[in-house]
Amino acid sequence: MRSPGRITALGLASAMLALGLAACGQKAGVETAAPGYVAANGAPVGAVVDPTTGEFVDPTTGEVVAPVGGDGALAPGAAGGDLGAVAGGSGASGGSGGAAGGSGGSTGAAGSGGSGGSGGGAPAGGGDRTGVTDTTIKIGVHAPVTGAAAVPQRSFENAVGTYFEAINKKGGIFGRKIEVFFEDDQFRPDVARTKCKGMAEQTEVFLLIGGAGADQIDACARYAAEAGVPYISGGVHESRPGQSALSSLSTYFAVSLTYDQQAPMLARLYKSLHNGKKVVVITADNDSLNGYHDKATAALKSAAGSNLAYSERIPKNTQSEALAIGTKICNSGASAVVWNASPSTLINVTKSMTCTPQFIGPGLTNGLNIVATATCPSLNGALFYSPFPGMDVMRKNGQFVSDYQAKNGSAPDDIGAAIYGLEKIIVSMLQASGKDLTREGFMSTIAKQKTFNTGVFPTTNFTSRFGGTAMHLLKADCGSREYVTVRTNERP
Amino acid sequence: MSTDAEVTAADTNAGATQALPALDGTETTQVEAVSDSPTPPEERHRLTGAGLAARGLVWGLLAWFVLAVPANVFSPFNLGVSDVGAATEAVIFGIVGLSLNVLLGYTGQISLGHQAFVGLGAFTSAYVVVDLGLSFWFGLLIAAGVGALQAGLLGAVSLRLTGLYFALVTLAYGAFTEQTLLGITAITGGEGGKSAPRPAGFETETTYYFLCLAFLAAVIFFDWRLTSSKTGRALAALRENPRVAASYGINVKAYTLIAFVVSGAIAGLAGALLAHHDEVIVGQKFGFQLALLFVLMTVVGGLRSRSGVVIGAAFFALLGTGKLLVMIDKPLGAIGFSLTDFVEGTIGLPQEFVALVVGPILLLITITLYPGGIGQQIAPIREWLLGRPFDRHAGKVEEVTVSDVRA
Amino acid sequence: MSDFFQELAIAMTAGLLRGSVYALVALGIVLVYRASGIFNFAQAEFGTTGLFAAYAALELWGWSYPLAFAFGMGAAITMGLLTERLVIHPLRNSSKVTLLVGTAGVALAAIGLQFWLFNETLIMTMPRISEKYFVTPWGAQVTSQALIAAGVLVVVAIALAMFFRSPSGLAIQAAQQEPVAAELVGISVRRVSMMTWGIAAALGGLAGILTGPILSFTAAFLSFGAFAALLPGFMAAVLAGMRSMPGAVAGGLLVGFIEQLGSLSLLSDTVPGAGAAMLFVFLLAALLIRPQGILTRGAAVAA
Repeated sequence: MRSPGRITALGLASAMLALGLAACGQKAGVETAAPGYVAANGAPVGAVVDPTTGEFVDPTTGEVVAPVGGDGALAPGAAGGDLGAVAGGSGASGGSGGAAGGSGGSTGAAGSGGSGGSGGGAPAGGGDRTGVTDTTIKIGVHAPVTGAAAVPQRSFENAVGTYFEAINKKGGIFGRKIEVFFEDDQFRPDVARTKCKGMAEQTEVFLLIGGAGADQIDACARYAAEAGVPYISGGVHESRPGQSALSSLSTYFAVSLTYDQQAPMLARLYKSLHNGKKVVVITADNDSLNGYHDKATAALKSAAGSNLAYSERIPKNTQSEALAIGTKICNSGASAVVWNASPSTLINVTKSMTCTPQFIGPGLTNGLNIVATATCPSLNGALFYSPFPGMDVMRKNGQFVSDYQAKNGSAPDDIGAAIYGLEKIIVSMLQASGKDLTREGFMSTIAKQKTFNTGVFPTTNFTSRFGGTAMHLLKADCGSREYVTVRTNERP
Repeated sequence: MSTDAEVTAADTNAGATQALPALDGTETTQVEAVSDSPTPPEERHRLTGAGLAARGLVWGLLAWFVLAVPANVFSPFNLGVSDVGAATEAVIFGIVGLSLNVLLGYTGQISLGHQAFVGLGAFTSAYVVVDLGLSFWFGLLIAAGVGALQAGLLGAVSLRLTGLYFALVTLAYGAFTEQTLLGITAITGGEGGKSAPRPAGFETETTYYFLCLAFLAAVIFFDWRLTSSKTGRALAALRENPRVAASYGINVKAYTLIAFVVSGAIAGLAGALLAHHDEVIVGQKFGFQLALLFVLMTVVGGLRSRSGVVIGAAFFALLGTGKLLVMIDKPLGAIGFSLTDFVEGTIGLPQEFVALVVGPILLLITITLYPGGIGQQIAPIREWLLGRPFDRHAGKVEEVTVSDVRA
Repeated sequence: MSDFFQELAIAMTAGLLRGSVYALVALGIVLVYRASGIFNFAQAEFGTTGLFAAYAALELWGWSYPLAFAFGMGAAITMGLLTERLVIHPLRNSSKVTLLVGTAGVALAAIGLQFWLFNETLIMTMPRISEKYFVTPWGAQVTSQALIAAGVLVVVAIALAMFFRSPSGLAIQAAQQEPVAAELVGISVRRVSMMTWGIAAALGGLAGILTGPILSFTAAFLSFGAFAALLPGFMAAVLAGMRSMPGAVAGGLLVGFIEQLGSLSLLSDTVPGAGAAMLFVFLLAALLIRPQGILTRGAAVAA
């Protein structure tokens, strides 16, 4: 005789299975072959990948479609040229969502579909107005405030929205107040993607901002391109192995120079300060830095010749290896170290070194004051590029200091300055986009106007997806335990 | 009347051959060790009409909560994609919890490297789907196979070391997997991770949720069959007393290895589901922290209690994504109180850390005061729901019973 | 080839310095195991607790170095005693794996607390006591700060050896070997247990605080706890058969060497996470070939 418990459990299990299957049945007719990375590969959004050939196929006609928007050029189709395609294609069911772009119809069951959420915001014929109402614009920001290499949480939360709030007080942008949403990506790319997806599809933000963290910015930017959400961040890497270049993402905009673009500047810096002396190139073994490492090595090779003692990749989180790395640097007799690895690794290595070469490197994280505070005195005199000037300059920026004071009631810090600069650029982009704000219009405005000058970040020039034109050079001053500005707006 | 569902299953099939000390301390568990004999009839509690209706109502509520709310059907809440995504993660964690329960609950061996099985399962499935171009279902199968294979290999060399040493080996294996195996860029896609697209028909959060729920149901069903099988009874016997079990001809090592392999296979399956849930997976996700979280949720859930483990896992998953506080805040909002604000503002504990601070406290309370975990707390309700009288003392457990180091 | 040998010599030196810290952790693990047969997964977190407390005192409250050091040690020892009182004692009749879960819970609780309190100060490090350094004949550079750890290990090893010849030490050993007989002759097993955990926590705290001026640390799993010290510490203890004190010291140094072999460019260029891979293979081999410990004589413990 079977016990009642068994029968009930069995019944429940089969009921769950049946319901699960029924739920699949609802979606069975939907075009599906569009896995996440269609847009990321440079295809016109809304196309699907032919599983056998890997070519991009127009879902309605079945014809092969040529990829667009490669090589960093802003091809018209990629940014705002084809409004209908951008509006419709988003989320996992991009193939079917394309049809819904114009009508604003929702394809997902009960509003849960990938394209249903964002597609729903687009009125007939007008482009994608997700996150925009007559009185508000929603903006999402992600950054790591917890995790392996985070930025200080309070600093960041204070920083986010400082300039937006100041603009809101002045009446907003064409009467629209900016609502900013912040998510912690825990320094993990998968979390960044999930959080960005949540902001884009549940909170329904108009655009996304990457606050810090190269791999997280990469992950979220790729998602944003799939979903057709404009994505703006500081410059990081340009490519990573096995995946399409960031320049091919149809919604991506970097407002400062990438690591790759800074490589020749580092060589020039070496030449002006350490010409004829030994130099080493040290880069973390993150695969996103492959491109930078090759460029930096080549640039230093041509600048230093045989004085380039060696060029090496080191583990991301160096603990036990720090002593071996430090010894090798000192044994090489290097007078300069071209460094691009995490701040904690920087500390661990400098702590075990018996020599004091000058560290030079690209921005952004190693140029933060928390690094100077923690690494002094070994870091004294280190030079790092940064998209925003040091606090010695920013404290004299009265507008910034008073805006920050108004929001947080405290004196500003450099993370505040960084985000303030980023927000300023975004506000001028939004203002340039005019009163009829759509995602397509916004992105084509960036491509058309190109130049946004805010006085914090160097002036942009969006001839490609990487709009940075210059960097500020910061020097670690262990007397004040912070970075001071050596020169501003240095161009490559 | 026995309490745990597993034990109930064992009871009904058990030939009364050898009485072993009961795990719940209140009565004797019959464990078949030698021969099959006719199943003794089980005493049935007579259900009244009102009792049936009340039970039906609670079952209905449960079904509504699990099935209707995430689909936004007959539901006053309007869940968004990230809410449903969090629910899916809770379901997948439930599967991981059941996987660890097979090992920790049924054999008493502790794995501190369970994240490795989940992680390799995740990357295996992503590799099969993306690089080999095979179907998602095949990916799940291979992932489960890889999980079983790893467990088999690791178990074959290390299960001669029981208890503490086995824990140490799994700990080292977890570190090795995280840093070495998941560091092989060709397979894992490096720091940027690997994409893991969802299968046809399950792209949306809601459909994928139901897919995972179906797998959870299947794993629960499988686990239930396992515990009532010869293997399950053998496991119960050797957990209670390996020496006695061995003397009855149960091959202790072989059965422990079987449990480990089953556990690995389920973990691999959960990993595959997790990969396609996240759509992009990175090696970083599968660190030691995750292994500890798995142990935490399983023990707090209540070893050997399927419902407890699933609830414990879901609890920690939702706590980790911050959705639990939001869920609690919804009804509290009516009286103008926000738990999130209280925790973040008044206590000053960022929401991301709530699981890290609350988890260990719950763990320590569980093992010192309430060894049966959540499973013990809900046992009376579960028994009642299964048609038995309400017994406040159902499911009492004296200790988190896990095996000792045996020389 | 000479490059390789120089790299090897440098790795050996680094291994010796790192290994001293592992040896201190291993000593604590062995001490607890001998006293109560428990695998103490909180041993490394005694170190982080001491480290964070010392850091807070030194950098945030501006105390002097000796005071901050004492405060850190006090915090570690307090944690050890609390662990004994709140977790180990109530679970004294439970199985060993339950106790293991308990100590892992203590470790997690400590990590949670550190996250909570130190999330704002992201990158932490303590200033060096001495900026002096010298270069060995084989080209390895040694900061005097790193030498301090090795020096402390020597002092602690001698002190422990002497302690176990003192009445208290003998009492501990007696209580470990014959608890019932020890009670009969008037040794309080309870007091001995407290003493054991206190000393173990002090060893952990010492190891943790010593790494403060050498490395950076964060309130994350990457810093001193978990893998960075716990796993190597356990490996060292296993090599010592979980019981031998001199074996733990030798084991710690050996593990330091092995781990540093992973940083040789020969390995690190080809195998990702070479250090962790070396440790795993070595642990498995050591346990399978000689579970009673490699650095011990006879069968101290069988797996």
